[in-house]
Amino acid sequence: MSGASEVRFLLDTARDLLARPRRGDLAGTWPRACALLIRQALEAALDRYWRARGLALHECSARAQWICLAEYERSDPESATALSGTWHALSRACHHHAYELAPTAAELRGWLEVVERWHSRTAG
Amino acid sequence: MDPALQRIVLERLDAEGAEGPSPAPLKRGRPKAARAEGWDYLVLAALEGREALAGALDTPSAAAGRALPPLPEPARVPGIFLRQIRVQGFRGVGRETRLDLNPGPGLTLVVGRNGSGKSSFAEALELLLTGDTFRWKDRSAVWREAWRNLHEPAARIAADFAVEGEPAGLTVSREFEEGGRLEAATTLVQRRGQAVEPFAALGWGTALSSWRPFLSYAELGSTFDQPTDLHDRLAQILGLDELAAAQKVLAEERLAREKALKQAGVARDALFAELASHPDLRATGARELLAGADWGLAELSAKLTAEATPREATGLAVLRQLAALEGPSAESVGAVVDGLRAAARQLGAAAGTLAERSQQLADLLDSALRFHDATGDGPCPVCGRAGAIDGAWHQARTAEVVELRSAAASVASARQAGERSVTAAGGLLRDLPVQALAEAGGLGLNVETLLAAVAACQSALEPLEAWRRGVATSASPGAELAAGADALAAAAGPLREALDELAGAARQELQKREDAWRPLARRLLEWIPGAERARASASALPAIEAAAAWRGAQGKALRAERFAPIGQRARSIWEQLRLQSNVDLRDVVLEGTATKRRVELKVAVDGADSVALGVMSQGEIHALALSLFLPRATQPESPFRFLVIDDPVQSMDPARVDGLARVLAETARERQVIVFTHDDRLAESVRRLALDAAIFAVTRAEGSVVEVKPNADPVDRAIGDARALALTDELPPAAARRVVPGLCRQAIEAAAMQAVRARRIGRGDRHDDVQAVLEKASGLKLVALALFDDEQRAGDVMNRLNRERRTFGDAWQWCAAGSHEEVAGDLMAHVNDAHALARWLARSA
Repeated sequence: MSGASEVRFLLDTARDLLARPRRGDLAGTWPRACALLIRQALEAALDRYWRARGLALHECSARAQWICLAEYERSDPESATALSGTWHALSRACHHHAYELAPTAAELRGWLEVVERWHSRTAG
Repeated sequence: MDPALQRIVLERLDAEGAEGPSPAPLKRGRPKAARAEGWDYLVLAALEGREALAGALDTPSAAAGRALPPLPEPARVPGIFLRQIRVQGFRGVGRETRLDLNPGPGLTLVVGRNGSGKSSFAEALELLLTGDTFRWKDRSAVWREAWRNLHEPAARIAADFAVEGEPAGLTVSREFEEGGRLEAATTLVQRRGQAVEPFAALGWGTALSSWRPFLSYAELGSTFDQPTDLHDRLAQILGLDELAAAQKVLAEERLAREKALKQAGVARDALFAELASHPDLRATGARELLAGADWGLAELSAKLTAEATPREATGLAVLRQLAALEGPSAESVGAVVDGLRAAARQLGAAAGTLAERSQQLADLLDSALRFHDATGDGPCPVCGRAGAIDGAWHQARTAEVVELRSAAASVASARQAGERSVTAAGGLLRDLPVQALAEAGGLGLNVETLLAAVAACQSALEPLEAWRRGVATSASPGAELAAGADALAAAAGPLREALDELAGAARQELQKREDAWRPLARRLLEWIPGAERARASASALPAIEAAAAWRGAQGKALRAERFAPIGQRARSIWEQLRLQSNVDLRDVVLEGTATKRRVELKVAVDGADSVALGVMSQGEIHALALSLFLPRATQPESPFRFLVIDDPVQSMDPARVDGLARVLAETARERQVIVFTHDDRLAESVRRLALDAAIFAVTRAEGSVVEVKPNADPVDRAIGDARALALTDELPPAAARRVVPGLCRQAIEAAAMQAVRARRIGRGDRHDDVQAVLEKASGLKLVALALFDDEQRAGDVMNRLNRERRTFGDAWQWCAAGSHEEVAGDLMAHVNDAHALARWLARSA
């Protein structure tokens, strides 16, 4: 699984996790799992973006990639900023931080939507 | 009344002895009640509240000399613990969610992000028990109406309690009708197997208001906003508000009574002044009564409702007599005048008939005739002339005697008629009320004309009287009568007119007096009952004043004595919470009264006295608020063995969180302490300090689905999550392979952080500094910090891991790679390796 279908799969799974009430195994577990999935969806989407343009940027640091994206997406700087911000927030949620609790459903929903929008725009 | 306070009050009242404070000096118009008997009873009654005081005052005889109740036994209340809180369709919680609690002493942390619904549990409980919450109390209607959860139409909150001595426990619940208002629902209580009762049946109300076992963040932050509020809240738990309220009800009672008395007095003064200038004699009598010290109310009332007294009545009687006055009628005067004139005429006609002589001559002739009858014809026995008396003489003299006697009789009858008429003339004036006329002048009536007319009449009578006495004032007989009749006829008209005029004036005066008096009398009568009540109520004033004076004098000492244990406990809690704070809390006392009442926090900053709040950070202020809350909520008298604290750690720096964790754990030895908190700091502190606590994590999914899950430490939590996801069939396996490594990495990161924190805080580093280092370190640097206490040695990490255990290096790399891509292989085996690595790391400090 790679490219658009991979991104789609990750986003769909994340949305499903977010939307469906769960009991048992996933109770309380889903927020972090969801964050991990969205971040990977975003990273996969970014990877796909570079590949589509024949650029081998996926080996670069995340920071470098977001700077480059801002250049490539100059027509839509807000989108690039939102994506980079979302990625940083997701990364924070994906690592352990002292005293921090799992992200909220609203936060996850917001991140998911940012990635979704970009993906549907660039995948088309 | 708060039992502890009651005890203190009673002890002090007993020490006071029966005499009590000296009564206040009497004020004018106050009923005499030199002794303030029963004042001590009034102190107690006032402490029970307004109604109790009113009751005690309504039966003054009972208040006086009533024995004080015995000292209350030390409180032995069955403890109440929380077993479960259930929330549905309320605030952040949609479908029914339960928070299970161990119903006994112990610390429970409920950790959840803001908006996770955790506070809904705290609020639901508070709403259940108090019908309101601190947070909502002063909010607008919009806020109060937005309590419903949008995802769940059915709204219900409930809590199960374990009560000592009641094995079945009880459930308190509040069900909201669909579309119903927050306040509309009723809170019900049910003991197992028993009928549902209203919440009030539990009788928790007073205890809840006294020892409210809830502390919200909002309350914590606003604790010192209003010095009077804090004072009042503390005062309330200690029953000190009862002390303040007692003073208030005593003061109100005193004021009301004084006011009533004063108003009655003002009205009395006005009436008194009016009476003074009132012409009515009754006014004088009323005024004399009113002048008395006790206002003579009873007498005055009797007097006003009864007839006027004789003395007062005199003036009115005179007026009434004069008003009814009628002069001699024209007919009677005419008759008298006619009689006088007739007598005068008769006497005039008889003038020259020598009536006296006729009588004597007739008597003489009668003797001569009787002599002739006896001796027969012969010479005159007087002059001797022969043949003078014979039959012819007899006949002629007999006729003459008849004539003579007739003439004499007509004169006598004329005189008698004259005398009768004179008597009648005198009688014309005899009916005049001489006394009344003499007093009429004093009543403001003009009697001059009348007196002149009367004098004219009297002078007309004088010659008549003289005539009757036989004193002739005129040559011709009967002329006096004629002249008297004329004078009388002339004087009678003016007399009648003057009398009519006086009667009219008297009637007017009488009317005027009645008109002026009646309204005043009515007002007096209307004033009397109120005045009597005011005086009766004022009779309790000395006792009320004595009670208030005692309360006032003792207030400070009572407050201090009651507050002392709280102040001490607050200081000891502050000692644990202050840590690096340079603020030393030396004493907490309740100070001042009325608008100046406040909680005085006597602090020293670096050893120098200072004003507490000015020098304290927000975190310190919260800590201080908590220092005051805990002792108040854990009073031995409180039946509530649980206390619920909503987010005490916000704006508290990490160092203070350790102190807080210790204080809470210490409190939890005897109490069930439930703390809701929005981040992991308190939980982290509790874990690191190895304090006993049950920790729950609350998360809220979309649709307000709130989940409550026991929360182990972050390492176990992350590994637990990873295992759950590795095994679940709720997630596509491909997705699990994306997620599990990331979770394992979180476990390793958490373990590394625990190691760093344990080492550095253990050796005395500042929390903030440790935190700053941890925030910056990630990946291998973080592990290097844990292993070598040196983030620069990231390059040595893999070697060290592999040297420790062959799988550790792989486990780390698997986690790192898997955080960005799908991994292959046996998930569970990898999770186990990562777990082993995390556990080893955590112990590496």
